[in-house]
Amino acid sequence: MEWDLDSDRPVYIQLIEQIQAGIISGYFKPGDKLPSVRDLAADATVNPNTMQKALSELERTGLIYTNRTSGRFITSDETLIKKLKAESTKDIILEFLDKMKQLGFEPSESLELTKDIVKKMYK
Amino acid sequence: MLSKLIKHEFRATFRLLIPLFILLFILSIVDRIVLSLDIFHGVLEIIPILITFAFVISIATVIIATFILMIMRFYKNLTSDEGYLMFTLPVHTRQLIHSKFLVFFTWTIACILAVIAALLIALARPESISELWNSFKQVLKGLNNAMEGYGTLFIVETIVLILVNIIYQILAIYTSIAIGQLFNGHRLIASFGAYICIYLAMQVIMTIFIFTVSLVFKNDISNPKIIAQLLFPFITLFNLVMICVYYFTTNYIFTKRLNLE
Amino acid sequence: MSAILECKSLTKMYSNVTALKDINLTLGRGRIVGLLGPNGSGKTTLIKLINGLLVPNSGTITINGHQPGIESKKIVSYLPERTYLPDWMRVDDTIDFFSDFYQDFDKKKAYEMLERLHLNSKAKLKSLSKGTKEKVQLILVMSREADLYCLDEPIGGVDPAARDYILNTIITNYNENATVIISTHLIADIEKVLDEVIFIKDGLLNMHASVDDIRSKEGKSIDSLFREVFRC
Repeated sequence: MEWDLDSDRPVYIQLIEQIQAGIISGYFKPGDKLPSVRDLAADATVNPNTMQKALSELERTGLIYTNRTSGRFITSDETLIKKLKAESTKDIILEFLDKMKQLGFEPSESLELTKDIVKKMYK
Repeated sequence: MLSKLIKHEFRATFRLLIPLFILLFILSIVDRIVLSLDIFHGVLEIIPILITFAFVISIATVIIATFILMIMRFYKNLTSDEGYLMFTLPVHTRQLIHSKFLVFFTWTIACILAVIAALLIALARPESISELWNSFKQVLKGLNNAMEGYGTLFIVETIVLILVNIIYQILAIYTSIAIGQLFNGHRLIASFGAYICIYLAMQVIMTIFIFTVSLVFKNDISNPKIIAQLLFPFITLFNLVMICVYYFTTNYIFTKRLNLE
Repeated sequence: MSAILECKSLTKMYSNVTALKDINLTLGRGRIVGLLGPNGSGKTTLIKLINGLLVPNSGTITINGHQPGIESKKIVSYLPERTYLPDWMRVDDTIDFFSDFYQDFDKKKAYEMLERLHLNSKAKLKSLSKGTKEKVQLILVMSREADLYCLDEPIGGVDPAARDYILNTIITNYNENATVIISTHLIADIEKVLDEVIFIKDGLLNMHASVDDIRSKEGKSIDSLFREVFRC
């Protein structure tokens, strides 16, 4: 997995975001078994404690669960994943609209511009 | 742990000294062969001369090289970058000194024995053993005559003094190296400087001692009884005292004043 | 479990220069800690004190409750900045050496790491490049099951690929009983791997905080903060 981590925000928050993105995109499928904390940390080149913190948080929100004998798994709860996807989508759109506002476009204008571009580029 | 240090010390020094010993023995055998063959006449006579010369040089080389290699070994292993390895091992600092000293001493004795063996190989004849033994008995007799019966004691004391002096020399050098590493630059020169200072200091002390002794004992100084029963034991004791001083100084410096670059 | 390292009013002076002044520091277990500071700040002095290569002038330093000595050396694995292995040895000689003197040394692990790096165990150290020698040293140090690892500039003179390998080794060797101290200048490269950082400035403890705290509070990377704190 490609990990893209900024240096000015806490690492564990970014790990949470990127694992969530991985779940949404299907890189981590529902019910998938996760590698060990150490392997994940090595893959991301981060501190295992930090990875542990991120995974614990994800466990708290239910996206990951631990089976004491067999390890950590992505939730099979499709509803939860859908909800996550919806929230992430909302975040992305809000961020987009915000950025467009900085360029001087109101949300309705942004919507029209988007329709235009989709028509032209994504036939 | 000490035995492991000793084992490692032998492994490290073995590869340096054994080639020299082998060379010595090869030359001793070659010399013997060359000397026993009577085929070099006229101009060719130079060959046995050269071979014998090479043999003698190799004896000197082995002795000097053993000494120098053992000193360099101590210096390199404890005060250069290797010191970072040795001083972080879970051993007492004194064990580092003990292991190196024991191996230095062993190689010195081995060197002496090797030289004796090489000489016997090169020059000994069947009669040699009995000849040497007879000469030795004669020397002993003459010595006993000259020394009013104290000849045997004198020889024993001399051998003891020689051995003690070897230990003394080794530890004096170790102390110089320990003092040298206290400095931040020019550590090698500082070690030499320290050795020279120690040497001069000892010379001064010995001179004062001899002066005092000759004043006190006047003519008696050449009295064999005095020599055997007082002088030599005293000198040996002094060596032993200095050995202790050197040992404790070296150990103190490496324990409390280690200064790796 | 108790703290792995404790320094109380630790002070070390050379001639008339104070290298470390009144350092009070406690390190817990299972942490990867960055020891950061410019050259001459006292980092190397602190590491030497931990390893018993220097004796404090005042104050105390204990490793798992032991003063620096045989007991502490058994549980501290030290990687100095320099090549400290004898040149005449072969790689497998060095493995035997470490195995002989350190009870916690894992020979199998060492050989596995050598394999993975395609290093010939029969090679003489003399014939290896500086970078390769450093990798061998890292393997030896990380093959010990120590309680405290002291790595002095482990990624300094190596190429980026080797750097990745070294960081990877540190991460995969992680265990929650052991602490790793990494002293380095190359902060940007290792920030993500650190739990905590210690800033040493002019012999004084400038800061000891968790990386996450710093990033949330200051909103910047450790590298940026370092440049601020140690601005010339």
